[in-house]
Amino acid sequence: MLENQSLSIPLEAYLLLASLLFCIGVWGLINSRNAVRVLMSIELMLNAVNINLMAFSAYLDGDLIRGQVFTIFVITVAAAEAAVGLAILLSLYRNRVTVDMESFNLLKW
Amino acid sequence: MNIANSTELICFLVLSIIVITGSLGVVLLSNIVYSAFLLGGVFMAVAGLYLLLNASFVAAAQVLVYVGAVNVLILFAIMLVNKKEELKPIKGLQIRKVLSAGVCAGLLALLIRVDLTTPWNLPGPSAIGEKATERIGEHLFTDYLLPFELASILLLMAMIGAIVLARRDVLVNDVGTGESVDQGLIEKTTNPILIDKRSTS
Amino acid sequence: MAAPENLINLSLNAAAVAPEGVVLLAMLGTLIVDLAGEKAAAKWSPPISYLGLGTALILLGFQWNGPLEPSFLGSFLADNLAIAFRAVIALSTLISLLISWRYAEQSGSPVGEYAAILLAATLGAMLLCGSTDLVSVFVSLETLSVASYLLSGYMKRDARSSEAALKYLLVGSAAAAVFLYGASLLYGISGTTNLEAIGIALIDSPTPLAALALVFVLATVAFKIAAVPFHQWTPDVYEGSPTPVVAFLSVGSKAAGFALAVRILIGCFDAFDTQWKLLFTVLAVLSMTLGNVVALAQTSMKRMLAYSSIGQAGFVMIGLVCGTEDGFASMILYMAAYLFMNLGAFACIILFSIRTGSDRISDYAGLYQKDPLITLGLSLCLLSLGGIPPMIGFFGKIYLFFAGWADKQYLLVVVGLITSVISIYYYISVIKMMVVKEPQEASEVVNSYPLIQWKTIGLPPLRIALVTCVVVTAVGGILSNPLFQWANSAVAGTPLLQQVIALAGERSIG
Repeated sequence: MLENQSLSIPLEAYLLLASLLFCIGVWGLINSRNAVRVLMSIELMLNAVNINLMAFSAYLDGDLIRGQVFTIFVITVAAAEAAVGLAILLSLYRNRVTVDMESFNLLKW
Repeated sequence: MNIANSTELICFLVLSIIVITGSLGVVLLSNIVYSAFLLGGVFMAVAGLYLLLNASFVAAAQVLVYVGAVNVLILFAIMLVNKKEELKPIKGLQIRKVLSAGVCAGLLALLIRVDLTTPWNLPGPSAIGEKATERIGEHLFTDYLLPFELASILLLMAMIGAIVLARRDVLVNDVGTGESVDQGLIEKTTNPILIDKRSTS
Repeated sequence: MAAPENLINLSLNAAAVAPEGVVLLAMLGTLIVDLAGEKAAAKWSPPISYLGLGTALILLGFQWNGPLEPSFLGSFLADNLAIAFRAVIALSTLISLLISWRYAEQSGSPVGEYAAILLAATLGAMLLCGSTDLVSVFVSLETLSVASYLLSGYMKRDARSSEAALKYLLVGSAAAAVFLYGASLLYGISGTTNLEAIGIALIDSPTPLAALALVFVLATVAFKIAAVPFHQWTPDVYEGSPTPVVAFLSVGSKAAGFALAVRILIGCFDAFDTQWKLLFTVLAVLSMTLGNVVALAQTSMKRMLAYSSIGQAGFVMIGLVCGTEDGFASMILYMAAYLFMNLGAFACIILFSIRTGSDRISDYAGLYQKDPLITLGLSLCLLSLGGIPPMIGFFGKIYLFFAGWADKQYLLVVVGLITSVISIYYYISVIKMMVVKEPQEASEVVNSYPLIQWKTIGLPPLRIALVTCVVVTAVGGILSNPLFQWANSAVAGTPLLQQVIALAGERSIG
């Protein structure tokens, strides 16, 4: 029973889900005009990575589960990044009173 | 196929559908508040997937950190910067969206091809099951000790930096000369920036 | 790797990160004195950070050629390559801090936190140089990145600074997510996070997966070293960030990026070296061309140095692509030379903007009348960046081109030579602006130039840094033999590089 656990779903199903989530995140990253939504898209991409790591960890690294540890680090860092991102967003909002990515053009690309 | 397996399969399908539709909603909905709540739903569903993978500790961390902290933080940010804002229409935006969708579809095809064609090293060693939390602790204090300690520094630094950036401080004097300063770059722009100062007053 | 139960009795060998420990202590020290108020912070933060970074450099010196044992159970390796890059990073932070104080105080930013965040960035960058595990690579990379985002947005009342920080953060986090996706694929194929073990697993792994992981990881490396076409953030971030932060980003952060490139590409993707070398050749050619050509058109000094740093990164990549003993040595040597000449140039432009509040190139017109020190220092550093003998940059560049030519990288060397000539043109035009203009042609800013004084708090360290960098840039070229030996022994003392060089030798014979 123990060996059979979680094997009824193929590993590839998780990987496909992660790929799809990652691509949705990339699309949102490119096309969002609201800076907060760009941050959300990045969180989606990170969650896709986490699904990948967790799936590999469960299917291929069952006794050492390094992927789970990696995921915990990703979650930690993502939280720090989100906090910093929103602090920067707030300070920019105070200066510009907009969160529209298209209007952040004081510096030319 | 027994009942346990089919239950698992159904759970997986339901969670995947929540993840996919939720994330599509996050990037597509025009109301950012709905997006933020859907993002919370996606995080919860991903935590459910972790439970399916026998990783209860990571699932708990996902709920606590992503839903409890990141998502709440995002909601706060939306409330703080929530001004009715008429986005200026931009020419060719629709074309850009379609084009980038094409690019993303190409990327997706590539990723799927790699996912499906790679001969993964299956079946791996049997799962550790309920001892996973213990094993994570062992990892954090043996071979991942260095990143673990560094993560604490990262969090400390992020906290300090976020406070420094977000607080409205009254310090506006040069420590050396005592002159008043404006907390801007020393290099002044030659063309004046149109800054709406209403919020800073 | 054995199960964790068997690892508990192994020694951590934590002495390898002693330099980082000292930097951490300095960071905590600056935070503690900052509690006593802004005046105390302005007084005590500098000595504490000098002490920490100085001690770290000394400890790094003691580690040189030391016994090589992986520390933290395979997370970190203090080989000579790591030590060399960590020393470059610590030194770049030290000099960046020396030139920061006046700038931060004059803009009214809190100084104690500034030093603490910069030291945290240094800590991340230094650990990144020696990381041999995907997890430590990721966490140290993110420490460096998050600190950099905070620093570039540090002038929080300036829309340009906040905007630069937001762009940097969004692009940087996206790059980190892409890196992580690549890392997760690497973990999936090898079942481990140790770079060496992944490298072994990749030898007989299927190509599509390895190629995809390679591209994903390479994109992040290229983002960190600002190689074209992953460079778009550079000019914006450089223009909008506080100038001392730009100084750190252009040297310290870039050095960390190159160390990461060596660790991942050579340590992990060695089985795919034709592929990544091809990609890196393309990146190097594009970087050298675009960086140097676009720099011609810039009117802002910071932006010009941003594009010039893209071009310089292209030169350094030549050494990495070669993969020979000389190639690696020339890469390390050029990084060290670049440290002094680039920070010297930044010290000069920071001093100029502190005195005048401008960084437009046209405002430098006729400066030699009013401020000979800046004129001389900036001229020497720019000439060195352009590769004019007998500056240190000339010898560094010649060594790079020599290594490239010996390894038959003719395309890279020819492009490098041509773009060097282009770069000399725009460097010289700045010098011409400062020196050749008649007094009546001098810019308004220069005409109303303030009296030169060095008394204000924060200016003496700036002067020390400026003079040191300029002297090393000018004299270091003639006395560069110790530097050559240092770079060569850095390569000789790194088993990872020796392995690759030996392999390449076998291939070329066989």
